[in-house]
Amino acid sequence: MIEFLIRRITYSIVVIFVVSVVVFAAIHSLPGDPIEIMLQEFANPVLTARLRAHYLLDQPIYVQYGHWIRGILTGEWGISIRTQRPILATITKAMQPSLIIALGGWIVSSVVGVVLGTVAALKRGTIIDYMASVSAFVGLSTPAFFYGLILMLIFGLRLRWFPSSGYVFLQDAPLETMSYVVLPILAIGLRMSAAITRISRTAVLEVIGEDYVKTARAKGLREGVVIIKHVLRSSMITIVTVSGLQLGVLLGGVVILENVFAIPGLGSLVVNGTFFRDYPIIQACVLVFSVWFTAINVVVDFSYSMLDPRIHYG
Amino acid sequence: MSGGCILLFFVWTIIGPMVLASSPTKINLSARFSPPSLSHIGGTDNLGRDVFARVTLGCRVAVKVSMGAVVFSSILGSMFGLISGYFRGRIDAVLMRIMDVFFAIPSVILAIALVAFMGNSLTNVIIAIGIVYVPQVARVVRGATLRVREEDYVLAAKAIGGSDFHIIFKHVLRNTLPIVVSISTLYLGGAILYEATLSYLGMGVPIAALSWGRILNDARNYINTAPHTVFVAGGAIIFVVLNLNLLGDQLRDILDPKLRGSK
Repeated sequence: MIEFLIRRITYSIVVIFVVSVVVFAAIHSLPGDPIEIMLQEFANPVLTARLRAHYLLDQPIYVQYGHWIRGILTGEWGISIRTQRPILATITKAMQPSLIIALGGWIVSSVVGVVLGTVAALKRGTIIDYMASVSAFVGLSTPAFFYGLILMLIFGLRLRWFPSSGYVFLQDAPLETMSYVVLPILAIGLRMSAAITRISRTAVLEVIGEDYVKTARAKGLREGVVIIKHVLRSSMITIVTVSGLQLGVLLGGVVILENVFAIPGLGSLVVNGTFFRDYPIIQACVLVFSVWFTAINVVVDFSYSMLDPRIHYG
Repeated sequence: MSGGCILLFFVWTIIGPMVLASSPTKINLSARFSPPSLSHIGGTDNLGRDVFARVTLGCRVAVKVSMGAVVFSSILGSMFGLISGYFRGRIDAVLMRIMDVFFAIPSVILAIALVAFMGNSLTNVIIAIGIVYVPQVARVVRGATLRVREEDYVLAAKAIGGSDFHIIFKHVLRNTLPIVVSISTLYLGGAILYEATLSYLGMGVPIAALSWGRILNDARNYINTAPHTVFVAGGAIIFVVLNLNLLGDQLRDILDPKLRGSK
């Protein structure tokens, strides 16, 4: 088991390294000389040569990559071209809202999805089932930002229950932070719950006809206990699998909704960085997102062995 | 029925712009923000332009981008999947590791980064979304190829001396094609969503090419005064993607009954 863990993590680290190489190569293959762009009309051969040497642009590309990667690993992530501020500090600050929204969205989607799917399965064929299935299907066909826009319109602008944009950091006013993240969390949570609802319904339907469920009921256990202890326990692995596959949707949704609600998180950094062609920031953010994504995937894989003891690794 | 709706959508995409009553680009400031009415079915936007006409024009972008991206990813992904699944061994290992690298980057972010690097243009958006889907198609085709290559008719073809090329194209491809077709329909819907998202963020097709996402981006600033624009454009997206998803589900049930549907 530990062996598998180590192998899996090593593999993930290798993948991340390759991602960093690809990202680095992509940026450095772009047309245009960064020094010339920086200097514009002030360019002269001496200055250009000096700046080039300073930024290591006269070195072979693998030396430049080595320098960049060493910087990443030692905490020197460079400076954002747009803001002229250190990237590591900017990213660390931006992580807070993104993490809150991602975590909140994941919790909302899991709870809503599993509950709705289970209820739909239990009340199969009734209007509740129909409504849940239809809304899940429509939900899958709706872009995430549309959820955000509708929620913003209703709860932010018309009812004025929550602020429609902006963000306050936890360290400044924790209670206010909560009000700013409710709408984005709901938006991403509801959007993601569509797939979870569908798969929960299918998973529960598959399990509910099994003999051990009949036995549990025959034993006289309360319906609630039967559902939670037996039915859901078995369905969990399918649900967790789909939940894990939804991760890409979650992170993508975070990016989009940060834009909709004007929240200064990692997603906004990427989007704004793209507009200004702030390549160091784009590079760093893509790397951070990939590390997040890969790390959570590894955790999800490992949760399988906990959910189903029959699954052994290694 | 969903097939019928899609057909209707295609017909409207082609003939719509020609039969429109109002021009999608004519600015009429005296009529800005008017709600849906008989003269303007979808109302007007912040510059008095007819919303329904603009959304109609947007259909073209949606169709172009989604079809382009799906064709691109189907061809490339199938190629990788077939080669990987058929030859296995080292080639398989290398190709799948390359796919893993792309899987490691969340899709929306990959699409944004690709458009950032390649620049805003219709072709680049198609390629970017296509690249996002290539690993997924490759994975599915690889799985199907792994199954098919063990079938008797493949072994028989090998026994009578069929070349690998011949076997892949005549036997394996023919039997993996249904799966590619059924997932392609689902990816069509997904591609439309990606394109709308990219355009909403300002990173999709150029402004001149009217995209639903771009319309929603403009509408966002006026959402409180004129929410009808958001609903019409968003409704169009949902309508098309919903029918594509329904069609994809039905196709999947027909073409591969072994795959259980989630009904």
